[in-house]
Amino acid sequence: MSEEYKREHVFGIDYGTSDFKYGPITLGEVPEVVENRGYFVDKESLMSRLMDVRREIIVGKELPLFLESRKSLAERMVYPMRNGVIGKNDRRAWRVVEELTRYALESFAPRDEEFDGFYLVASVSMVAPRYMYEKFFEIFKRMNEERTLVKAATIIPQPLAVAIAHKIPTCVVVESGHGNSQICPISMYPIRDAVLALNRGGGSANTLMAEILKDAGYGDLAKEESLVRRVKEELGLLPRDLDSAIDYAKANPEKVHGRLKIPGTRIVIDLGEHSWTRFLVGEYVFNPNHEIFQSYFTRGMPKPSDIKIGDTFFYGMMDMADAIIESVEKCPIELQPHLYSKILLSGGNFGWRVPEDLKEVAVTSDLKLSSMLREKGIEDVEVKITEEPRFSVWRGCIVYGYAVPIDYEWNWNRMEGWLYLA
Amino acid sequence: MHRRFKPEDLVAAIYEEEGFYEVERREEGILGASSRIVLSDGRRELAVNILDEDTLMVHGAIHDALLQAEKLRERYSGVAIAIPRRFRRAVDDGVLSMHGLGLIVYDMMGAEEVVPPRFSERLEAVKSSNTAIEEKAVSVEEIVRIRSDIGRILRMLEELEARLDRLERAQRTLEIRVNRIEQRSSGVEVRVRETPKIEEQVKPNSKKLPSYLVDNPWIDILSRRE
Repeated sequence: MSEEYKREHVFGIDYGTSDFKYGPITLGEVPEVVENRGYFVDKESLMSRLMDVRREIIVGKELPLFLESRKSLAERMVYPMRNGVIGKNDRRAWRVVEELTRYALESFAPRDEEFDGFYLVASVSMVAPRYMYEKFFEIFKRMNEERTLVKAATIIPQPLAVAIAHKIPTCVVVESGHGNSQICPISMYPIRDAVLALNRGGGSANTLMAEILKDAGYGDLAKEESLVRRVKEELGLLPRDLDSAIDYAKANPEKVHGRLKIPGTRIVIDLGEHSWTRFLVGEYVFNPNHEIFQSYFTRGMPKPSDIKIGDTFFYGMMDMADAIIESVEKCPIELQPHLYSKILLSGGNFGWRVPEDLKEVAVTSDLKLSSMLREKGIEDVEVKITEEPRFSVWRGCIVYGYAVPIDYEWNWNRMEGWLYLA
Repeated sequence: MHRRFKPEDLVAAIYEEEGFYEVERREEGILGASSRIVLSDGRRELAVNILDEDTLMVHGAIHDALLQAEKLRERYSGVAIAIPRRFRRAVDDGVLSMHGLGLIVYDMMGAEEVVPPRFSERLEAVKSSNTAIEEKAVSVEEIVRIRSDIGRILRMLEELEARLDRLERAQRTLEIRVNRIEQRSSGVEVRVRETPKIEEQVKPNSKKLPSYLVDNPWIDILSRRE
């Protein structure tokens, strides 16, 4: 098998927390995207009998056609990657992952005789434990039961893929998803010993937004997760400095007034006198230690706790700048200035918007983190939000598969290389 | 039904990967601890005194636990204490490390070895002949000195590795610049190493190269993996 064959048949898969991105190198700039979820069909239901459904699970673009009542949705819909780690014995989640992988590969596998399987590069969370790698390789091997779909496979951590897609060999990638945030220094290789994880992500900001909605009199709407997320994205703000932002909001209530009409419905959310709380939502992601959050914890809002998932310890209350400093300080001293000079923010949790008339007090994630790091004495900091964060992991997978030589075989110590499966 | 693991199970699990298996478990009548497990890898025996939250509520319990653990060092090749994670700050790692005692913290999520126990080769030595004891005996000071030497060498290696990385990167940047200058001067349409191949192979009908493959330094870095 030649390098030329491999380059033509590189296939990337990004097992993201919300979306599943996949496709071969020939797709160019943009992969195919479906939601990272699977629906376990009730084979006794009228719908599945009418449609003659024989499969246990439905994944991919046709999934919405099979949905039934909201109650069955909660029981039968499985999101396998919600916090980046799948339990070793979570049979349903692993079944969804297997079905999604088959769906992706079969969508693009050529029918010609020359095709002898893809060179598959899969990307998973940096905190994925070793058993997840083993399970993934077992799944990739099973892909070849009927015909050869995977010639060789490899698995890389998502932060490495982000760094590759952005063409930066030495940097710190901060990936913040729904359930948690991971900080990973990279210098040609991911520096695994320096990886640090926080038990806070977009979901934590949603929780606070729900509390704010309750206080503003929208307790009924606060139960709808997707609506809360939408309100957070539309009304949530990231303050340059929380105390000054609150003072500004109280002095200029008309400028900070938060009002949102949900299109296609009669729902209008008006935060009114609670509009100053818009600044709390963004601050909470970066630093939940401000005394103002104590009142929410006292009233029962869960405090992000220190937990252990797989082999990784997730810190609950450590602020984002401290986490970056602690991670970088685990790297050689000579390397540290190079790492601080390129910090890449990746993931939907960094997309805070700044309304034109609030530029004085609200900032984007890169500016916020730069100023937090400078306050802690770190100079020459450059923080950048990734471009097209949805696709950068998949792009990194394609570059990785394209460049890594075919004779570089998988090694469990360095966790790199091709594992030949056919 | 979800089973809640006992601290003894959590502690034993962290040493399983190192080849230790449980040979003894006592949950009553232990001085200075609520339970004790003894693990062995066939050559060495590790005793772990486990303290639960109730035990630690008693004034002076931690000191008592450490003194009792110290006594065990005569009988076992390694000794450690395990305490709930929230009492972590009550114990000084440096002191334990100096005395060769291990420290494990645990909570409902699992256990973690904070200070590894220092193993003496006593048991092994007893099993072999008396003459072997004299040959194998190494003074504690020497072990400490060797460990500090190894630590120093590892740090130097890390720094050298980082320097080498940077030198290689600088070299590659220079190579790329030299190539570009050569191309310009000769006017020949030759791109750096891989790029022409990319153009040939990505999407045969498309003339435009995906942006993420153009001038990506990682292509050079990754193609050197061996």
